[in-house]
Amino acid sequence: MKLLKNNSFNILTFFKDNSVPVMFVLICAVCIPVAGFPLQYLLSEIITRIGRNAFLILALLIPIMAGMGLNFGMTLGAMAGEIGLIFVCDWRIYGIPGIVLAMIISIPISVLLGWLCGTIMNMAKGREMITGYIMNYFINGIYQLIVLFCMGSIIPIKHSDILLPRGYGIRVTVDLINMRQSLDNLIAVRIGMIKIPVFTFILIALMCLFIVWFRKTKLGQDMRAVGQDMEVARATGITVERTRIISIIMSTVLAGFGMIIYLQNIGSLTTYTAHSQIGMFCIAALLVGGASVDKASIGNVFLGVILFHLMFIVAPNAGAAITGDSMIGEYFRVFVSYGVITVALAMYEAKKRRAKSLAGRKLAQAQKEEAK
Amino acid sequence: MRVKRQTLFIVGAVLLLVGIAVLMVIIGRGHIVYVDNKTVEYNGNEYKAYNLVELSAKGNDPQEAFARDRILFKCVGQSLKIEYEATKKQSSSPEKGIINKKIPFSWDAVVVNLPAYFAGLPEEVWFTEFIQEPPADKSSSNEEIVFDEFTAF
Repeated sequence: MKLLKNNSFNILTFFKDNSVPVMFVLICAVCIPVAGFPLQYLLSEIITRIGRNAFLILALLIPIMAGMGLNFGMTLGAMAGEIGLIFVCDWRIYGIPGIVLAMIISIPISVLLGWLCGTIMNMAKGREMITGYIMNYFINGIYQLIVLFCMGSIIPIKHSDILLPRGYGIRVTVDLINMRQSLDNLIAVRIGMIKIPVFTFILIALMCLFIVWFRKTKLGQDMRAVGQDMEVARATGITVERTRIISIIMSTVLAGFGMIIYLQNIGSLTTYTAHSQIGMFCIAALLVGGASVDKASIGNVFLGVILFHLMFIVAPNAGAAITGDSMIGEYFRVFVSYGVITVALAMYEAKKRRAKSLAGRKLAQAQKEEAK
Repeated sequence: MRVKRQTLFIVGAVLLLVGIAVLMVIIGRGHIVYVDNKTVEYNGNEYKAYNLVELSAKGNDPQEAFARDRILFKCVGQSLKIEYEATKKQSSSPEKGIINKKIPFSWDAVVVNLPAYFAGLPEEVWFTEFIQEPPADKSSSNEEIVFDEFTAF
């Protein structure tokens, strides 16, 4: 948050720069007392949701750094993670080894999908977000073909408890009971009723450190250069297309890991739908944290998770208390998720156009002065 | 030279990942262990169930098996180690001991029959693979997957 600008605090600039987080702070401030949840419950839920979602949202930072906007293609990584989990369930690998194995299985699938996504995004420069979004549907179709028809018939699946009774295809829900909260419970500290999944937080902290370190590496600097201006980056000898593909591959692989962390916390996998909204909610959370299409930080991730999920927790009860119908709260939170993405994209486009028009005016002014 | 180094690095990373994956498969392979305290017949002799057997295994809560009970443990890895305290009759004093056994990698579930083990019967009597019966009729029990045209969206 830009509290200080030119050494003086400008309240108007502050609200202008942080309009989305401020709006969500206000929504939460109104909804929390109305919902009437005890503070301990809210804290417990927030801590659980930070552990569950933060890794996934952190996976979005690298493509933003490379100027590719919000990576809607992270869903591809989520699908790769799910495929890893299906195999691990079938092979009966329990606990932490199961999670590590699922992550390893997801890597080649994520790399392949990330490469495909990055290559297509390179063909659609400037429209990466919508390209990524549509890629989801395309790959989702292939995912469903593999999981619904190939698994059990072409791809060997041994155990009938994850197969559909017809003998091929994976069940709608796969029980992850043998892996459930293995990471969270590895080092867990209880303070009153609040359980803190320390090991998951360590993983998230390591991921944050990795991002901080990665920004300082040659590749990280290249990505930032590409993100600022592709032509200038190309002129300095950076292979722009390759750098952009690497950023998408990294994001997809990390999204796969994030999805596995997310699902081990939930304890079950809804095979055909678990990934469908994950990109949307992660992007919404990041935007709620004050990020934009071209700028995001680790701070935005955590502020976003807290505010967005706080709103998620309190909205149904607040909706029920205000209108007498909890579905209103349910609709409200879905509406806000989509709404915040729309507003952020519109604001980004408006800002871009304003900057373009300002640059145009400055150029015209300079030309006028030169003519005099 | 740079390309060669890069290739070596990639091959090394892949081999490392494969190595870790194999290790995870070995150390993380899970088995369900059913422990039966049920009367067993062998060679025309009957070996009666114990009155009470208290059992504990690593990573599981301690459990009690009364006569005719079947209890379940989860075992991660191939080494099964169950500590027991068995009381044959209500009046008798308990016997303590440890069951140590390697579970074959390919077995998903095993059955350990305690009276047979306590009687010192051959391994194939007290330690057997548990094979789950497949669903009776595949065609009649189809789990229908309902999609509408917007499910994917």
